[in-house]
Amino acid sequence: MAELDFVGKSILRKDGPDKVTGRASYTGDIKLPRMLVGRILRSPHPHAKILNIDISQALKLKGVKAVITSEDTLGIKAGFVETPRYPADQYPLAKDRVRYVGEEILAVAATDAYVAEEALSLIRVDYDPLPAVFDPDEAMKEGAPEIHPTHPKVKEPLSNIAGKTQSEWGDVELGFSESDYVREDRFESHLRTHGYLETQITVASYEPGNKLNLWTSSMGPFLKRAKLARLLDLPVSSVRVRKAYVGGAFGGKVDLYSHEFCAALLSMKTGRPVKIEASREEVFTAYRHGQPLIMEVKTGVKKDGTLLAQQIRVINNCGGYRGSGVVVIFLGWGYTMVPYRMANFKYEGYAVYTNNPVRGPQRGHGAPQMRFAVESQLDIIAEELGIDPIEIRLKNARESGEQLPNGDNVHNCGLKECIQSAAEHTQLKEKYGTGRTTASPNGHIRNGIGIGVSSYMSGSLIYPNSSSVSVKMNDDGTATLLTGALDVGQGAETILCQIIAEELKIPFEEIQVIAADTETTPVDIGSWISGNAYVTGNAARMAGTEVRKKLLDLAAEEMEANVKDLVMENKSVWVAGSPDKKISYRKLIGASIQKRRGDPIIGEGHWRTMRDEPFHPSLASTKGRWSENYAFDAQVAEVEVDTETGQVRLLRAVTAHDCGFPINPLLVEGQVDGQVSMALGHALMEEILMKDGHTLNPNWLEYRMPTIHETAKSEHINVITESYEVGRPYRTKEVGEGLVSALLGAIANAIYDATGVRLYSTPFSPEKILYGLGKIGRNQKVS
Amino acid sequence: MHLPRFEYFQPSTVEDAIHLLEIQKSGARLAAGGTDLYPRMKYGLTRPESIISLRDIPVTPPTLSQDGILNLDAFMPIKEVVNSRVILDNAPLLSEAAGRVASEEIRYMATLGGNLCQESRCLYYNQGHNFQFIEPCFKRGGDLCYFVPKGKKCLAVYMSDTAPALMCLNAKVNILGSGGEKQIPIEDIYSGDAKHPLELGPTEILSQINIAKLTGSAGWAYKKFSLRGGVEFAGVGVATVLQMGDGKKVCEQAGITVGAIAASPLRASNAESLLKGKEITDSLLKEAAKAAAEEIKVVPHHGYSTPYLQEILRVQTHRALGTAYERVGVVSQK
Repeated sequence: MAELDFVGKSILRKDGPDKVTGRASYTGDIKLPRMLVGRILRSPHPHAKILNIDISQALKLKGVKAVITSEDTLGIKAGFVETPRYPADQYPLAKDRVRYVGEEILAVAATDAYVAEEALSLIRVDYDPLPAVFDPDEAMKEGAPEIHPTHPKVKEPLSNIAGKTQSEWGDVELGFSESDYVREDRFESHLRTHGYLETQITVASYEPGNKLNLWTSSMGPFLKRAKLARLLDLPVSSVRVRKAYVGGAFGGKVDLYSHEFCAALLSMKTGRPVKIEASREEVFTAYRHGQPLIMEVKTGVKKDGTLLAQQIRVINNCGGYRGSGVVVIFLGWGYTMVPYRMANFKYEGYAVYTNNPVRGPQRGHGAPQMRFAVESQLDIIAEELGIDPIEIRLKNARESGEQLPNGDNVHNCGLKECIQSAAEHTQLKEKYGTGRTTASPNGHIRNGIGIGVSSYMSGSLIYPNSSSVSVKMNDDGTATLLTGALDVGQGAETILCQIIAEELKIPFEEIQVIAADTETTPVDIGSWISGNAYVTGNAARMAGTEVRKKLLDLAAEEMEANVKDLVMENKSVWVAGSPDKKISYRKLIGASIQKRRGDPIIGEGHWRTMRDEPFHPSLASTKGRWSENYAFDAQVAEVEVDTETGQVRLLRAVTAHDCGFPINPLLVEGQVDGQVSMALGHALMEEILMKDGHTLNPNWLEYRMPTIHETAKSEHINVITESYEVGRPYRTKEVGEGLVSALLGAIANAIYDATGVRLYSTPFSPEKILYGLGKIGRNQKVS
Repeated sequence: MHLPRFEYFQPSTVEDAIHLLEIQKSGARLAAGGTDLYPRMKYGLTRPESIISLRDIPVTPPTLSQDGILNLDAFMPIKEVVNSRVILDNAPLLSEAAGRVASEEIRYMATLGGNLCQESRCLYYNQGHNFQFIEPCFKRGGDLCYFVPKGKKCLAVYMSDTAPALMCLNAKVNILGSGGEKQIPIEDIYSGDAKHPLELGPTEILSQINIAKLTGSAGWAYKKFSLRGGVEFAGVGVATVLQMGDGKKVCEQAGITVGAIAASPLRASNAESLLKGKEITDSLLKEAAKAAAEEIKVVPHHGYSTPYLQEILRVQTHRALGTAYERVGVVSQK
């Protein structure tokens, strides 16, 4: 195999210098002439009818340029999911009724923030409060306050069901009856959030002639454009959404948000640019967080640890509208289906409306929660059977070529190697079980070790389904890459440039990028289904291959040689063995323009995962294929528990992962470390505290994200199962979500190993541990 | 979020500051480092018509008087309190507590006096009230408590780290006002009412802190419990001093004070008397810690429950006493 010069190398990221020098321009840095400031009025009630809105006093205030309510809209609803089964369900501005605290009522545009905020204080809204419900178990009961009617396809006598997923194969009852041991547990996960540093922000500028320009902090411009055009009844081509640097997203900036719609409509009303920036408090109280799940898991095994049957019931507290709540109950099935063989399986997932803010995706989109439940229970089972945690996982782990029940194939699968290498690297087998019995010098510290496993899909079919990339050669022999992909910090632009550099043998630094502009760049799947490296990467590779072919054909013609004898390097081509007689790309481009009717050499590439599949699999039945690329990982956590205070410290996290192959090992490492830190926060300290639909800790001080003091040592092992060859499609795997997903279970298992306390809910707070150790009474709900 | 509009004064003497306070009446607020005041203004929790900044008033370096009293200017930045050699040598407990205040950045801005004069805190109170918890609670001048809906009083918690240390050291503070200067024990600046935790009048300034130096036969410790390192306020903060007799075996005087569990720091008097006159053993320290956890009733706050905080109070008191005992005879921390 030819040696690679760029792909597989730890090249420093393209956006690095801009970001570290402060030159990077974010949406907040955009200042347009005559720009107005927009602010949003939000519901103070978790559930209420809107009786009347009086904006007259606000309109009289000097500097107020427009106020919009639902009456100013076209009355079109939007939704994270917009399908026949789950049609759009939320107005961008509430109409007649609000269903959570913070729901958007209206927006004002004014000459500055002081005036805009004063205007909000002058608006009078009359509400008729309605009974509210916050707990999904309560909301499902008959007679619970109705937030929305139960989905018409769900026939069970349950209230407030936003959606249901069910899937089954084999015969679980038969599987349980043939099992030597059957275990049933209930796990719960809590509410936490992304913690992106750049708050939600949008600048909209409407130009006469029906052109709406938008800069918005997002994860991909094409979905925003499609939804915005629909809500405003504008042609898609009239809406231009383009890139600014993004200060973090982690799943929180996928969907179209009300503030984006409001900025656009206010700009259309006033004829002036409008900027709306959410405060940190608004992000914490009214925007979308991750999803708290209740997971009931029943598993049957043979004495030797072979998994025979599993039945899972998931309940998602999905908030006042569907959001991604009906997606996460579908995904929950996928996250349990992949890593281990399971002959008999039954899955039911319910999304339940409550009067809480709407939920959205958060890195892993349900995987950390599901894996926490499954991996915790697997350790419980292993202990009951007297098998060690590694053996039980190796016994059931999928292997290369295995077909999944939905028709997907795991192809080259390094899961067993991940489990083995993570265990060996940490000496898990030797350490496991020793922490509880070995006294530390000061008596109250106990050490523990635990493992968790996860698998994550790398790209699926969600609008806009495909990615295209164009590459155009410049007169000087360099190339310009046009991609719709938005670099949200994961390094999208960097790896795409590496691929083009590799295909064309042009120095990495000389590849220019034009990215994420709906008007000038081709479409892209977006930075949210872990498909950038595989889907957009292959599109880039294909565009590069096309350019490469054109260059080689021309060179062969110019040099009267065979293409197969040609060598490319550093923007020139020569015949193998005669590097002194080289021809530069610059000359080839000139020749192309002269001889090929002016072609300056442009290449195009397109990629769509599962090209023969018409749609995304059914959210209701899971039928249809989900992905053609699965990444696998095993993560080991080593913890220290202070048995007097209940505090846990993650000392070390080891991630062994089958990422296919790393296009940029340094970026992969960054993804591992970032996810370890995020999992640590999820496991031990981050929690949105709520009371009756109100958020109690809407700030960085009380929402406890880990600081440098808590950071754990992160080590990683790449398990390579795929490779890259110039000119050929490749299969690589995601590294952005699966590696946040196994560690939660690993930490839970390590805490058990250290203390004997099995935790069935997240976060693993000191209170729960002291309670488990019998040192304090049951913790009361507090704030 | 942004600051509301206000008038701004920057006097260069304390007398001018007091004079300005008299003129401005209750519409004025003093700002030392501003690290407590400005965020509260951004949340709309206080809306002063004017700010009287103390930043131009020269800070007198700490001095040790002939009779062993350490005099500290209240306007000293916390960072200087942490770094000061004379404080480290004579009141190392204060150095330790000051080093645990907030974060490095805030310690540069915040002052010792400001840390003592900070407002009490509560999750429901310390946020904006635009669409959440709009109706004023007790602390915002209303008639209800969101935390305990049937509650009759404010349950906000006073969370200074330096206050329990200073109370443990029996510090006295100087209060300057239009009526002149007075010196009172630090305990006396607290009202015990979380709604207005400080007794200072509208034209008074806490100007100086005076501490009797610790002798070589004393041990000390401040233990702050928080979920994260840095930045956070305490869940519980415990300050201890063990003043030992000549043989360094028998405890002559003990100080145990606890912060972040009520409207003011509290003294664990029963636990202190338990130690007085006794030879120190680990079981005695355990007993004292247990007594402290029994006599001090904690207010649950910031996500911690009562049983948990009560237990943490016991554990931290035991650890603080243990560290204090280990340090007996070690004059300086560094």
